[in-house]
Amino acid sequence: MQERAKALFMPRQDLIGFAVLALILIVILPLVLDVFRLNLVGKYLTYSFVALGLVLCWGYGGILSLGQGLFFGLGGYCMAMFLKLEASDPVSTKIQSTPGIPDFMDWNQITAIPWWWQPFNSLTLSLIAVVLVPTVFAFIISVAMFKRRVGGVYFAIITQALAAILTILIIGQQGYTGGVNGITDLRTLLGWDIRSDNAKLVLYFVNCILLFGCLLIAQFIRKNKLGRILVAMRDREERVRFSGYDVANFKIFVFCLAAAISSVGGAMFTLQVGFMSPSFVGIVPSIEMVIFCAVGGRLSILGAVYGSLLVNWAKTSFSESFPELWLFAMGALFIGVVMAFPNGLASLFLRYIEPYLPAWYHGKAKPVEPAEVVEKASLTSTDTQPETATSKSTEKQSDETVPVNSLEGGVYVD
Amino acid sequence: MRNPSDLRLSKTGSPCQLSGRRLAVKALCALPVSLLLASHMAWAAPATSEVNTTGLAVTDDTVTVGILHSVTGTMAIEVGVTLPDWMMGSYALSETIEIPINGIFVMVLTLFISLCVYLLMFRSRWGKQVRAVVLNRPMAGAVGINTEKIDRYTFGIGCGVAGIAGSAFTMIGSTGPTSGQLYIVDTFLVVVFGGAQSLLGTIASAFTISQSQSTLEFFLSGSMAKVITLLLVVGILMLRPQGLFALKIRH
Repeated sequence: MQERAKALFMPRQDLIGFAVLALILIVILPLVLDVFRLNLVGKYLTYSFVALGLVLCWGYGGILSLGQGLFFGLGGYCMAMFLKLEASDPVSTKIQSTPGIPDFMDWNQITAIPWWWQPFNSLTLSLIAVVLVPTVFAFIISVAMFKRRVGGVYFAIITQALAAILTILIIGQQGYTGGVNGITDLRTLLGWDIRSDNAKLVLYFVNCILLFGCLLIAQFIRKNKLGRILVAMRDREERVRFSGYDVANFKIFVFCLAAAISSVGGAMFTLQVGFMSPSFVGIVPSIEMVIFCAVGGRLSILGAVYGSLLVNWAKTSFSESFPELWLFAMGALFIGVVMAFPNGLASLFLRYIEPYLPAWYHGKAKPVEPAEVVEKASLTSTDTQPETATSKSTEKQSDETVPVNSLEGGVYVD
Repeated sequence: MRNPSDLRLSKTGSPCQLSGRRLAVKALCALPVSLLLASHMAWAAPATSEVNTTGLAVTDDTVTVGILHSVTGTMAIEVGVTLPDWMMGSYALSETIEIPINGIFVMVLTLFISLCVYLLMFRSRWGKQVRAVVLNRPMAGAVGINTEKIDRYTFGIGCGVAGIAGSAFTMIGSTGPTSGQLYIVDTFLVVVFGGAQSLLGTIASAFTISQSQSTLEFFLSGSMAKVITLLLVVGILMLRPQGLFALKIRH
């Protein structure tokens, strides 16, 4: 038991996966693409933060949230508020009736910056707020829900409702939030022009580094006891509860973590795109983010990145080349993915590509981690039922050294 | 046939028919629909419409559990509907109270659909099978109910009812490719708030939510009224997750 509990943080396959992704994002794409395209890729990558959060929260924890746009938006708005305050210094806004306040406030006859905008004068406080505000929000929601053992569809609906509420609130309170246009015309970060090509390049790399930071956190959780408890909780919640774990606390943790990761994505979105608007907060973007995650494979943290890149790239290129047909194409993509491989691109990789990779990829034969087996099983089988997944995996992997019993015993740590 | 809503009604009746943007939205919906509804096949529950006492008909949405399909139900190209003559105008109850005829029509339609769903769910063999599947899927399968078939039909009927809701909606508001999005949250919340397995609860909650919203709109701005109503509903759901009318079932 002791030996099995010590999971390898980065098995060879994952290491290669990370390295390939790093090679693509940090070396190949900047060499191949011009700054405009690279900036677009950077924008797509900000969505992959949300998708990564969803992999942890939905794929591992089994908590479907249809309101991740809420956290993405809150993070983005926190950043945008700081940038907007910096952009509206008294000199550049002297034509307004009240100089020194953001332009949309001036248009809405507001004469002073409201108190809750004040902390965003400082970059440090803003950066703290970027992560803290969404996390606290997520904490409140999840404590209220999970401590009462509300989950599943109800949770999804409530998160969706909250995303809708925030959108309506932002649009309705135009004087304080910029309304439907959002917070626009952001120029500098501490005097550094974020609209220049150079800045876009730097921000892209910062974005990549943050993304890899989040990926490593996710990998750490995945390979830890925590990750296994999450998977166990997803598949047999009652059993985990009766084993003495407080299921609610694990759910709260993973939901807050997903929110924090999403908010980082939101802040990077604002920095790279140069504005933030309610159209990235509401129901439709939230559902789209779930789709990114599903296309990539909801059990694969790297799949989340590829999924959001692929879907957004397809969206952009379809709409550029076939303005008439791009909605059909997107529809076909989504339906195709959901129908043909419910566990996303990652399952395709595991089923059709991984077995044919050379021996150095797989490394020397070693006992497969129980958590990994279950995970792989549910990735490769089209069935989401845990029982059938487990039984299939034992058939498939009969040549490996995992006896049937240890499989269950490993996941539900006794 | 002059009434375009009739055409749309027949359109939504056939699930295969996809027009331009409907496809994209349908695709967008396919995932959450399949996720939410595949395992939790609740049943179609059309809800109420209300006629506001001030005389301005604020007819709210008819609701189904095939909720997202209310999006696809109304998904035609942007249309301004010309109502047939007999639906124009209003019925004067007294000097100050006038009730638009299209509002009354929608309400009657809603009551009729509610009755149909009630009969279907609680007085037919099929309804009994649906309830059995919802309560205990493996057992329902074990006694010979084809659960997948029941799922498909339930989902289909839910979508159909949503389609009727969509066509009724065009008689009151304008219809565009995005008009359904506004109702996703409302419809979800109405069903959950009422208690997902109670027809009466759905009607009651739709009435409560829409009534409180239009009352609040009288005092506040439209968006704040909506925000406060939704927050209240979410708050109540956090305290009472099973909704207003919960079936007492031992699991």
